[in-house]
Amino acid sequence: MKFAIVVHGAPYVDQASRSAYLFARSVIQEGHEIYRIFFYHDGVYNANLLSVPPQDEAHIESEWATLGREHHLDMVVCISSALRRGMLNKTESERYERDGVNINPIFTVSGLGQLVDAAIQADKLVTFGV
Amino acid sequence: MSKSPRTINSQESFDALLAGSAFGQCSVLFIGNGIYQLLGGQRPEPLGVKNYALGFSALSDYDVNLIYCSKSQLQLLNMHISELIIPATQLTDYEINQLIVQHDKVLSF
Amino acid sequence: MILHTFNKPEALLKNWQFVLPQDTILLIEDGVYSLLDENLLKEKNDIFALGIDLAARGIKVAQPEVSITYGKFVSLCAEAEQISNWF
Repeated sequence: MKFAIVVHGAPYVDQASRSAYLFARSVIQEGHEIYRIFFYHDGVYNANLLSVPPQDEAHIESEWATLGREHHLDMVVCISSALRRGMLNKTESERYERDGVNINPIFTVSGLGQLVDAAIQADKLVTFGV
Repeated sequence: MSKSPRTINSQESFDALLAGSAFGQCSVLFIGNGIYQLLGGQRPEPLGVKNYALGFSALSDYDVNLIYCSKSQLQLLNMHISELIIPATQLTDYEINQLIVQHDKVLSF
Repeated sequence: MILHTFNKPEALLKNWQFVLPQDTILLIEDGVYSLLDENLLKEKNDIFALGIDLAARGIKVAQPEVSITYGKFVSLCAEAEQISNWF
């Protein structure tokens, strides 16, 4: 089965991100496919390239990036949510003349059409909200 | 839609509804504090907040005509259907369960 | 059958009215605190809670079949006709 996962929560401040990550890992372990993971609202913060949590604590953003890399996942950050929250990839940083890039390039920055497409194409859709 | 209009999340949820309507038939259900989004006469601009609720009146232009709210929760919030910014069909609790059953996917906000 | 997930007790309290006896309930995150009410498991529904969230919060449930893994969560999603996530 193809799963779409929607993540609304930022890492650390809410458990939604952790729950979504564990669910995503289990989807793969159970032999299903992840069609897309869509990060919306504060969920866009999971793509943060620059966080430095204490060494004895989980690094959630890094765990998402590793999961995405290992399993070639389509992880999409909503562009409007991201821009509003100051989460920028190289393209947007240049477009808006901002001094920095903080979205991990493993994440794609795209529009709500990707969320809707995932809702249509996937067999199952699960939202981890706050 | 389950959240009050006080945060950006509700405006973003509305954006998602518009995006969905471009691809196919969408129903939108307002429950809990989400029903507050439909209260007419909102003027959030002095708070530096966009009055996205004005966009609800344009939902029919996007072919979003299946607009529902929880009858029991509307009453619980001491609101009346006449106060809503757009016509919404009041559903009983059972009808809301069946609304979910009739749809392929649920996007929760 | 709808699979309803609830991530906090307030979500369950506010939206329980939309659940029918044939629907399955999964408590996740703070939603597992709902099991502090022993009457919840007397409902007709199949009710599950994520074991990892129960353990994290120190909640013990007498019925072992209630506590499930993420793998079972995935299976419940696969079996359900619709999934509704309440928060």
